[in-house]
Amino acid sequence: MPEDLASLLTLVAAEIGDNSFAHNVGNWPDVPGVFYAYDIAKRVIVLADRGRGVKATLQQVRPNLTTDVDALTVAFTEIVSGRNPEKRGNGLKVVRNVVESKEIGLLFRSGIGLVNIPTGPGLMHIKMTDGNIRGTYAVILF
Amino acid sequence: MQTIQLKKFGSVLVSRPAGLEAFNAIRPQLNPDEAIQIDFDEVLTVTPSWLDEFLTQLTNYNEGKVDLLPTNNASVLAALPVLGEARKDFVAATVLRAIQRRKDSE
Repeated sequence: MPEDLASLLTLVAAEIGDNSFAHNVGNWPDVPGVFYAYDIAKRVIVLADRGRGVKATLQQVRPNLTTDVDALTVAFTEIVSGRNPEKRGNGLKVVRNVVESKEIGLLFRSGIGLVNIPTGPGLMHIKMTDGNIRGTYAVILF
Repeated sequence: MQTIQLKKFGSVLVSRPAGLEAFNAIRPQLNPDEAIQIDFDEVLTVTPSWLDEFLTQLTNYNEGKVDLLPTNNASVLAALPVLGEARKDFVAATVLRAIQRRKDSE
């Protein structure tokens, strides 16, 4: 694997996994921690948590957020953090920029919202899906 | 001029708490009156969270006298534009100087 791809894949997985801890510490609804698995041969990384999810986290600073789709849109496009007033909230914006511009794909679900960025360079699409994800679920393809 | 080699903290630098811990560990060796430069050599990945936290602490400590040495590290190059636009403070100024130097050298 080229070093640049390894560097960026690590960034994407680490930022998503770290968010699970940073935004749920002290607030895990039931099972704490993150599921993490990868298969280099299949070129896939999976992360999941049973935390509060993106909407509940961001509603702390944006109480008017009512849907998972809106919450995911804010999370991936605006520099805002559920840990206000800390100056943070850059991570998922960098993740989006990296995945949109490189040979990395991302499927990210929280609640009934779904973020999809194709594996080839391509733009992010966010939509509502069937089935609810408690917490977050991310599949990184490369 | 003081130089901080980030490889001393590991080759994969992840999470804000780890960035804060790295700053706290190296602070006793730093003179706040002297400029600091940061060397990314031999580091595989720096996440935006780690870099933001480390730079925030460092630039507050010496009032912005921090510069980033030129690097081709893909994770650093990906994080810098977002950190540069995130806010107007010492971190943004440090990052924007690094971005401008890279543009000038191209």
